[in-house]
Amino acid sequence: MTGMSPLSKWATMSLSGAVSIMPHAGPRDTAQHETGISDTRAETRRLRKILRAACEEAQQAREAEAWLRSLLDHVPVTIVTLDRDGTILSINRTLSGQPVDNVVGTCCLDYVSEAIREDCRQAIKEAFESGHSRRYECGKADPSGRLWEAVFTPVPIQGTVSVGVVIMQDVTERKRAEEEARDRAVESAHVHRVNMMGEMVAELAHEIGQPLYAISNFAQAGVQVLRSGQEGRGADLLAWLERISEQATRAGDIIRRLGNLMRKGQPDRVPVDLNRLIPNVIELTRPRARSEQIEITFHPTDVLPEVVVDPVQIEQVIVNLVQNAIEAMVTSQATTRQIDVSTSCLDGHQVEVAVHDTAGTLPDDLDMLFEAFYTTKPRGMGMGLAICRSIVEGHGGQIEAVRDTEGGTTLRFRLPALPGEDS
Amino acid sequence: MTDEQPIVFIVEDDEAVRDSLVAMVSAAGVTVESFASAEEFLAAFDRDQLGCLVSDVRMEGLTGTQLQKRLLDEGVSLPVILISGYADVPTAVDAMKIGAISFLEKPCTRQELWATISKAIATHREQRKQDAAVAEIREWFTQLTQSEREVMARLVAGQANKVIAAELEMGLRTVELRRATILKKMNADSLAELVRQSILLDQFKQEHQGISSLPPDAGAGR
Ligand SMILES: Nc1ncnc2c1ncn2[C@@H]1O[C@H](COP(=O)(O)OP(=O)(O)OP(=O)(O)O)[C@@H](O)[C@H]1O
Ligand SMILES: [Mg+2]
Repeated sequence: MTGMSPLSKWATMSLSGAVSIMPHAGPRDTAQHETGISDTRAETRRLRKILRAACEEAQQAREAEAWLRSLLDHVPVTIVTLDRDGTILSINRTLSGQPVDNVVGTCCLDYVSEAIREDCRQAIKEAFESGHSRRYECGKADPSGRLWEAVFTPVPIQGTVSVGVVIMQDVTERKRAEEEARDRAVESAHVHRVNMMGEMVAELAHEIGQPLYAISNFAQAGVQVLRSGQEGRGADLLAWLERISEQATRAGDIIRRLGNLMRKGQPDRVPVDLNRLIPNVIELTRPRARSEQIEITFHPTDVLPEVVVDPVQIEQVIVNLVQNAIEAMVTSQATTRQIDVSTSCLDGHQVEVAVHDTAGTLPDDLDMLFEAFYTTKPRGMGMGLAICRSIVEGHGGQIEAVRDTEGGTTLRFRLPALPGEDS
Repeated sequence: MTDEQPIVFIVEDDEAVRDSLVAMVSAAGVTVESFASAEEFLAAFDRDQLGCLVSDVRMEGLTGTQLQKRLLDEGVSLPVILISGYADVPTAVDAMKIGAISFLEKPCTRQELWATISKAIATHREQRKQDAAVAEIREWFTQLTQSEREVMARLVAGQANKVIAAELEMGLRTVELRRATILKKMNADSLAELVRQSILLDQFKQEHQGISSLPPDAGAGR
């Protein structure tokens, strides 16, 4: 006996409401014999054959039912059938552990908490009307604190939809595991981010030092002029004070950008214009690039829809990709040392960010790149791209690496665009 | 020449830092010329100018230390003050190995900067004075005949007139006459002065691979 056949038979039986003994002796069969000559022995043989067939079928049906019953008893989900009013027609096991018979015939809405009762009623109604499955989480409904996920599927029987199947699953453990994994990912992303900052820190220290040094010099020049009572240098003093304020802003900007990347905590999604976010990130990586004689250029597309993202995470992705590009360039023999970061909008629904470098040192097995701990660098952790992928995919996007025809490398990722007001 | 005005050359690729150094030096009342790169400076600066160079170490293109080396190779005596962003000991050590140089660490006070700059300028002034003096002595020296040079080499080596007369096979009287002419041509009023000049001249000749006008055995008395 194959696994499927009894089940499908059971379905035919129960849906037609009675066990039929006729299906295999079809109308054509019957007609043939009714017009035949009466022959008692033949008739007896025929009836016996039908009877045997019927018995066999009844036996098969019993087996099928037993098979299905044990299946229903053992699957780790709760399966309920409902009519249009939400009355429970059948249930394989109750959530509370009370006997199945107490529940059959009652309204399913009696078992959900007050808070979501109306929503459920509405959901059942809509599903029956539309004829489409609906999935919902009814976690908060359960006073025990367990999380349930229900899929409601209306079942058309002989053209009309009067029965629905609800499959309910306890997803508490799964959700908890997912949450833990998410926390761990956030934590390891933060560790990697701090590590990544470590790579940039010498250059960034220099970069913050420059404006502070300029401020100190302008201020001392002013002190010198005032102390020595030099006449007619008001214009100089004014200019120097302005430069001081400008340089204080410059230092502040660097620290602010850094602070963003160092931030720890739960991701926070907001609409972001990547054309504005990317230049900030590039400025953070520019000092290191410059010390390796690498030029970084940003090519923003004219019109770019916003994306709903966690800006810290997306900054991290871009810093990672640019760092990888810089590191690739350092080991490369390429004479052009250029990194281009560009944005583009694909058919209005997706935003793409591409980081292109002229190093062309991409390893052969592209599949491995995004795996955790895959690295070709002596001091690499191999976490950069793995984290990039988890962030991008967590935002409903994709990331890929491609070799270009001129021997360069592009790493690019796409994110769903926020639909604009006019679309 | 003593009242020649010095110029402080500033080479720094960060515009704000460059302008702030210009402000600081100009506040002290000194003329400043600034450049955004070592290359720009090398292409434009007046090699005869009194002053000093204040340069950043980390720059795109030629670094401060490379610039210092270029000046040395060109034989430019302009003193160099390197300003480094952070305790950059290896660079400092390298720079000091190749020549006279001062090092300042960012940020520096105007007193430090000014003390370093004025010391550098004073050194340069001294250096140039000496260079000029040597040039003059060299000029005088070229006026001497071959025979006078031979006598001079023996005089400064401390040989007595008699010995010189014997070695060069000339009369004692001739040697005395030559000696008087040499002192006159060299504007020296004593043998001691002539000796001092010859030392400078030797240095001068070594440095510039000058004509070996002194016989190889000069000074080696018998
Ligand atoms: N732009 C690129 N050009 C060439 N190879 C690249 C590029 N980006 C990534 N790779 C390859 O992919 C590997 C994995 O990159 P990933 O960022 O995940 O780790 P890593 O840079 O080695 O270490 P880290 O965890 O410190 O970032 C790199 O070791 C390198 O071989
Ligand atoms: Mg990396």
